[in-house]
Amino acid sequence: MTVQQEFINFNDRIKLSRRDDAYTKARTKDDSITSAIKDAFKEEGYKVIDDFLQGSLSTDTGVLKKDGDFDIDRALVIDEDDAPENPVDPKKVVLRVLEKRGFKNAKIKKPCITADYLSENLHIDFTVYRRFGESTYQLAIGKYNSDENNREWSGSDPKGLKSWIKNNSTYGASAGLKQNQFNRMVRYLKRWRDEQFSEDVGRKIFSIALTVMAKQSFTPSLTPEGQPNDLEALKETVSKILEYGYFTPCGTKYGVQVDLPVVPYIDIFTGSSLNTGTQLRNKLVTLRDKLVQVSEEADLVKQCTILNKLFGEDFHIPEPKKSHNTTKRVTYATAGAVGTSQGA
Amino acid sequence: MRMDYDLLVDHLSGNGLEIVARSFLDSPAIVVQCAIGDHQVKLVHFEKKEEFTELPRFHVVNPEQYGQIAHLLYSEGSPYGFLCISDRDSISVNYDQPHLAIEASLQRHIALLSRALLDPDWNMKELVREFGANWEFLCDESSELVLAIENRNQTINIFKPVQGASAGFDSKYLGITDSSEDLNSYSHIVMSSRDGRRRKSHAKGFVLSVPELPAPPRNGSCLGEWYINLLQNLPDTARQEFVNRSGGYKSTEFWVVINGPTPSGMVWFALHLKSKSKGSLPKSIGQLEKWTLGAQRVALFNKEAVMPRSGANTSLSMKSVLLVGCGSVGCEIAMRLGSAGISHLFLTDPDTFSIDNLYRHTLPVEYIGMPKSIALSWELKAKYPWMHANGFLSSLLDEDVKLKSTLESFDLVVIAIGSPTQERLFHDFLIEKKVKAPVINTWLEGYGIGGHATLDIPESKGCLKCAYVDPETLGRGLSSNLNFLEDNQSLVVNHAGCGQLYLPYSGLHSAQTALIATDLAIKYLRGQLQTSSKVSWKGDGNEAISEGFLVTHRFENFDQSLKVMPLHNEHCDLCNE
Repeated sequence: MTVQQEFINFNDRIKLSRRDDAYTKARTKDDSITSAIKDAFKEEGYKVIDDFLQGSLSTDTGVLKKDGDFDIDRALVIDEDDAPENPVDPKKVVLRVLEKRGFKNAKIKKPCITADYLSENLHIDFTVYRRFGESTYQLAIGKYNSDENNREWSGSDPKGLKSWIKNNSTYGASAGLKQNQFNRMVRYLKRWRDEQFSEDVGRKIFSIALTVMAKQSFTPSLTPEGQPNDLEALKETVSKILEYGYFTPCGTKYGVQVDLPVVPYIDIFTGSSLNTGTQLRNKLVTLRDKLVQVSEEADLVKQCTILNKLFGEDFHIPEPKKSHNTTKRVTYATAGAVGTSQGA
Repeated sequence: MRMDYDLLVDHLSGNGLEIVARSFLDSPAIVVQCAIGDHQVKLVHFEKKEEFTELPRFHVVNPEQYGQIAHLLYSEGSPYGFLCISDRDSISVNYDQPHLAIEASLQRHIALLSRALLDPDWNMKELVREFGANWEFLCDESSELVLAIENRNQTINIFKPVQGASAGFDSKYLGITDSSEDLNSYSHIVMSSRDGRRRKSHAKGFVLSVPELPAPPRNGSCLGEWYINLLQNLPDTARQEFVNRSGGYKSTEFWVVINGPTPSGMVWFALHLKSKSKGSLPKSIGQLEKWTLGAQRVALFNKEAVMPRSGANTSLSMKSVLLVGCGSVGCEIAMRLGSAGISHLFLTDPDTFSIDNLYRHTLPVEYIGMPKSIALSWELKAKYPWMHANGFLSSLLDEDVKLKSTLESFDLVVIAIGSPTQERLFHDFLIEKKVKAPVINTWLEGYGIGGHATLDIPESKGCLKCAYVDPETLGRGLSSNLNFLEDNQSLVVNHAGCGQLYLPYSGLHSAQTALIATDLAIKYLRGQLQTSSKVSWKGDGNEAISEGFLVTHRFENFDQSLKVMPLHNEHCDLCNE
């Protein structure tokens, strides 16, 4: 076993994908609710012309939460011509559907409607957009009782954000491998956040902020033979995040600012406290230093012990006596067939 | 730059050399005289109008006065002799400063002559060491005896050249016997010996091995005396054996084929004796009277002589190799293995040679429509005289290939079929049945981007699956991690419908791939490689990239072309059990 193998095993344990059984069950609920919302929108006169997944499931950067909860972020799109002037109106329709379906804590937040489906550990966020032409979107902003001054259709680019995160056109050779390594970096950082921060602070370290920081600072690492080196990539990516300029010193504390790379280009941490910025910055420094320590350590058990403290119990520590010459688990390819360039 | 000889005379005189004449035999020349021991040696350089393309020549005037001198060649009565000072082609001459080239050449000539004249022991050793070159000087340029025998005393029949033949074995005298062991019956030399146009000579040839060679004959007129002295100086038993062996024949023509040791190796040469009336082989001065003697060069045609001299390795001649796949890569491998000296090749491929194969296959058009393996076996036998090749029509996964005992009987199995699925299945079979056969898998990639070979030695860590570890999951992959092109790209070209899809690459690319695979094979078979290994060659990728194909990180970073590296992958589940 190698530390790369341990990273891959760790990733396999924390990865949330659309193929996971748990997700499939949640998705069934999601489909059912979405269908009901579409019907309700249609009755109101604004037909849903598109709906799509947002968030980590759409960018393949999702992680299983430690408590087993699943997040599903779904966008509902209505045509600009049919959309009501008041952006909160369709959100109220969503709320009604959710309440009818037994979501006790469903509520309208400023950018979305959120609800928990407790029996399925399912947390759903719905966002409502109106669309101009083929690709211009506006997000329905406003709470249940927001007045005219606090509600609006606000410019947004949900698909552009997905494309930006998934864009690997600048990665050069083996771009697919590098993009997958990036996805793992985001998962590692999210799990690190869940392990290292209190629930209160961790909730304010938004996943999208970690994703944007990781994307802008991503430093792929593959061996000359083309095998990913996740330890090196993570160490370099975290180092670059710290040097990128997201953190501004303020006395002994730090402010943090991470701008969305697409419309509306706002700071994801708008309104965040200095405490959030300071904790995030200081814990990233610790993460970087520990990763340096791991990379300088030759013993696999010692490496994994440090990583276990950073990422939690899903990063396993191999038995000392079995760390070498252990029988390797056979992992077969998941593709049925692959086109190769081989001939003779 | 042309030589200005007036300036040269000034230059040489200025350096203490004595120029005694500016012409020789009515030709413009420079004659330099120098004292070597008691001799006043004159060296002549004939003036050249052209610039020097090799080290300028000097000749020794009146060479006979010095007796037999190593490296000094001349005909009887010739006014000057050639002094062979070195391989002239290997010397880089300063043609911009020709006077310096002349001076350097002159110094070399004087140094060689000085040593030969002043050190008789060295001179004698050199004469023997250079025996072959000296004998060559005595020979008739047009004839040569090709002798397909082992290195031992024996009596042979000599076949005359085919009349009118100007090249190939047909143009040579042939000394070949039924016991010329190991020559395959398709080899050109055997075919030539059986040519109906070749008249069997009545001449007998007697091979004579001498334990010690004297200095070569000074010139053609003393061949007879030299021959008789050689016989008389033989040890008694050797002389008696030769007399007995040659005594029973009477003829108008005999060959005495002599071999003996020199410091530079065994030398073979022959005397061709002819007479108008039949008689026994002469063995004394008196018996020589009615015979004319000619010096003949001999080209020894046995494994030990031909293979090392022409680039093959005799230690490989007993190795046995199974080659699966006789396509463009396989055929090159077969020919290269043959050129390396492998003499037992088993070839198998169910495919037939077609017009579509022509430009990237070694087979010529005569074989179109014939099974590739059989055609290739014929080509190999025709080209390599000691090759024993057999062609079969089986595929890699056929039951008659998947036989443990058969596979283990080969020194090496080479698979050149370019099919990752079949190759992985075959490897599974080897593992499951615990077949202890070393295997090379080789393949190329389209558009000339590169090629690869792996050597899987059962006792060594590293196997084919190491080359198939998926870099991302670290589990078993479906395509090789050595590849330079990304998976799942539409690389094949549709030539004329589904049945005519082909991967674009040239004969150059298949040959390059075959070279790395063969290199791996030879290193392994010679015992120079005991670790499972991999090797790749990398092209520039321009064609693939311009076609819009995606390359791998390995391609982008690869700078180890042709370098043999360990095959073992630390994540291979088979090698890390």
